[in-house]
Amino acid sequence: MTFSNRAAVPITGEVWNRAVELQREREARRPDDAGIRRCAERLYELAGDRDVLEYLRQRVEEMDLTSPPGGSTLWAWRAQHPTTGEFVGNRYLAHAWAEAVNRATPGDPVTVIHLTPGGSEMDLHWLNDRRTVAALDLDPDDVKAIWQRLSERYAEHIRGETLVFSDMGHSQAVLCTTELPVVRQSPEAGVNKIRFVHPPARHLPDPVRRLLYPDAIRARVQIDEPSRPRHLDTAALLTLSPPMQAAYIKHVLDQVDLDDRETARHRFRAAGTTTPPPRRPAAESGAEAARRAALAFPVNTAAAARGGSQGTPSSQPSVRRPSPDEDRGHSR
Amino acid sequence: MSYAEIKRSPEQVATDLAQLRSMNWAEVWAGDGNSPTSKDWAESLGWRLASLDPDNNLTIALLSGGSLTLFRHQHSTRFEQALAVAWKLRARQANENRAVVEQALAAWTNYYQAAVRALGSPEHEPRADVVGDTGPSALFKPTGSSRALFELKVNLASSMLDGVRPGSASIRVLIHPA
Repeated sequence: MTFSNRAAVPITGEVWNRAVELQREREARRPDDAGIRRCAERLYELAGDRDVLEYLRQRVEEMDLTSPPGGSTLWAWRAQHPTTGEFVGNRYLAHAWAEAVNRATPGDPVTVIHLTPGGSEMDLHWLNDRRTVAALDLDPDDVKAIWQRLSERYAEHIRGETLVFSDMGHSQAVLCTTELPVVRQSPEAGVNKIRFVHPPARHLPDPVRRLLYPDAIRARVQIDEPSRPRHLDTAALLTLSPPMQAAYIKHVLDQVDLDDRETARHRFRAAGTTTPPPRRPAAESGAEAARRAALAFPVNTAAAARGGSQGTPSSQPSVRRPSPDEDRGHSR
Repeated sequence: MSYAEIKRSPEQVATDLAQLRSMNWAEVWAGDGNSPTSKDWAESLGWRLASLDPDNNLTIALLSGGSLTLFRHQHSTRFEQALAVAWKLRARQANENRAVVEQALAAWTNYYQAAVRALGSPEHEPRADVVGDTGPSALFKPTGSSRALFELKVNLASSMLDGVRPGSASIRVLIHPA
């Protein structure tokens, strides 16, 4: 099967500006206090004689979150406009970028979760607005669970390529906890069709950024929370020789793939439920673990000697370098 | 009717509040725009980032074990309110609404006393009943705490009034810029 390398489509100045515009437009649509009360009232009407939270939990199971086969975007956190310095939610950047791609290839569109019928319905409720949380007497933890389930179902519907708008899968974001694991395990999408549109975050040291460029690595690991699964210890990585770096990265990626296979088996057996199985202990982390992993996994020292020592899984992902346009902005 | 969920006991709320009153709230409200990541920002304040929502509001974990959701001012990097839910109960049917309110009011006294222990006397002595659609609430401006107004309240869902639809109640701490 072929798929276009859409991640190579640059985020042009026009796309950045459109993202800023989309962000401002949404803020302009944010209801005033009376509008928030009307939103709450509408939700109560939809819920009928059910508790509104129960209604939302049931509704999220029925929503249409279908994506086109050409590709879907995922996003987390925000980016910074390359010339104005304004912060822009990656949600808006993904949206603006999808618009640009869809203009160029109208027959093969990409989508964003909030443009699906289910996503746009959820958007109308303004569930993350503090005034909605008060009017409906919601607990942010319950709202989070609803978004998580919506995101999980969206990710389950992805077919083909997945374009990620995040400099790194922040370990606390739904992108990292829910969406990427589902996409990685999906036979219709899969880890080898995940592309990161942003380069790795600018605040990272250059050697770390270089090591994190391959999509295959960023699609699997997180680098900011040692206590969570899929952690790649970048500080330890920098203390290793190139062959040991490659071995350590391979070790972590293999561990992620193993965990994914176990989770996918469970999902299949559960037939219709998505309750994850008990987690295996997280992969080893830290300098000592990196060294032990490196020793346990002999590497291609010839490749290391040539300078091509980034860890790569068996699928041999391509290492994408952003165009100058693409690299101008950065997430933070 | 379900049982109330006690997310934080009154004693735990007192511990959380004692920690929160000593925060530099000017720094909190100023937000995370100058930090490489929200995680770094939370850690610089002695917190741990627990999650971020689609609007980039942050939920942070306190050292004392509680958690706090920080709501952004529109799409900016600044924050305009913090919220922690300590106790909550939702009715399954409208005829349970009265019992939900009664249970919330019964729980309120202990949480109020815990807040007084942690924050000192409130600005005004709160009433202990429900008037219209508003439950008891107490505002605290503890000495030594800059730029923060603490509010403990019984929050009622707006559906509680009509008697037709199931509602809910919660006891929550809100922190506002002062």
